[in-house]
Amino acid sequence: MAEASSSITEKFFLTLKSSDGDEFVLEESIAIQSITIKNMVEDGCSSSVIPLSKVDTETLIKVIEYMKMHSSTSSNEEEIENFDKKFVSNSINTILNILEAANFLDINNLLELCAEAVANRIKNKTPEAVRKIFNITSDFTPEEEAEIRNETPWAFEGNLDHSLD
Amino acid sequence: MECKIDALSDELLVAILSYLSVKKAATTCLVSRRWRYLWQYTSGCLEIYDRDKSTRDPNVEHEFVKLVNHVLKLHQGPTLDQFRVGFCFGGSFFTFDHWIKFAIEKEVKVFELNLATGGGFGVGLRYYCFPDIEKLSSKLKISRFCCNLKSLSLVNIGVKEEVVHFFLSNCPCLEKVRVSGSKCLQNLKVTGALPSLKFMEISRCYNVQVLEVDASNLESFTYIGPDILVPFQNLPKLSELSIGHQYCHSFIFDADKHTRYSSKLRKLRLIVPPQVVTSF
Repeated sequence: MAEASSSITEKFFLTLKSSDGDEFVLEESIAIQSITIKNMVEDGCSSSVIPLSKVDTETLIKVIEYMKMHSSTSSNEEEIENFDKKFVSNSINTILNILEAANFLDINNLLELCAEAVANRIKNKTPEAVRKIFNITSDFTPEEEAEIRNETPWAFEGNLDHSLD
Repeated sequence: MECKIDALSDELLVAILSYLSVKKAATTCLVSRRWRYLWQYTSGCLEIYDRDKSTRDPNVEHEFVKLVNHVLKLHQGPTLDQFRVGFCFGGSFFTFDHWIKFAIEKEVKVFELNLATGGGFGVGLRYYCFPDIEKLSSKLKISRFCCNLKSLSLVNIGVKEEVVHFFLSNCPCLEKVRVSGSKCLQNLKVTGALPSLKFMEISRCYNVQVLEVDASNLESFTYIGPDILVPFQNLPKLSELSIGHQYCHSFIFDADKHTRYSSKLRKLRLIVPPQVVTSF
């Protein structure tokens, strides 16, 4: 404890390892925005490399960018807002990867940001457009589709958007 | 191209869909088998208003009530953020107790029950009265609902003062309260510790005799109703006031009585009834 109090400015660093085997060194104070990492640090697993087997390199780079921007000391509100706006303009698959990583790493703000971003892409879209956006193949027969439409006519009132952007 | 979304868990898909209104989420039931029932677990905003607001056709009313009942039955998620429902109630033999029960059990934060969309106040033969809330659900569920409730709006429903007092004293987060068109509101006290209350409207409740408002964080108040003694006591933050009907008369012709609160207002809206205009 004596050591800690005499070195307030000293920074602790963690090494995060992606599923592709790439290592990233990050300040502990930034990394612990992830509750998963925070718990690992508290359990004493931080001296060695922290393996993140579910997060690939490309996604981890994005997550680290996000955590750096959102760490309390370095950025102001406007900067953060602009960063978030740009962040969610990534491709839908990138956002989905980040969303999954945010869920695994337990970074609630990032999870919410991505979930809302995905929701915004499919807002007001026809089911056909949603399929195309996510590259989903329908497994309904036309008869089943007609039946489901009849079951919940309320959902299909009003105009829906066919475009993909 | 891969189908990345397939790798996501149902929980995450539901989390995404919860950013849409329940109705918008419901359209995704046609995407694929996997998506068919996901919307039923979302926790966004469920808003159902009658499309044709002006109609008083009993068949249309019946269809609408059936539709709402159907959708409420389909929703499976444990909670919902908002439940807002409204149509022009023509006085048929429907009861809406189970809609209120639904709001309680889904622990909604915003609840609106509007039985006079399109301005159809008191057109029906029957009048729906807000039930004794404590009989609708278990104590635990009611207390959870009360802890979360932020906004309550009841229109064209018989809301007694006991009901409003119940919500005011049991809902610490309640920011917004609107009671409009209640014939059984007579003696209302908006007093006590109301740390969150910012917006309040008491309108078209023509049997109001006494109103007392003493809420330290109240910013906006709307009173449209009979002429009563000045109800505003300690309202340091009141900046927006809308008044109408007979009370307007007093505000205009006995302005001295009102200076205690009127001098601090930033915005004042007078909804002057025709009989006041003619007495100018």
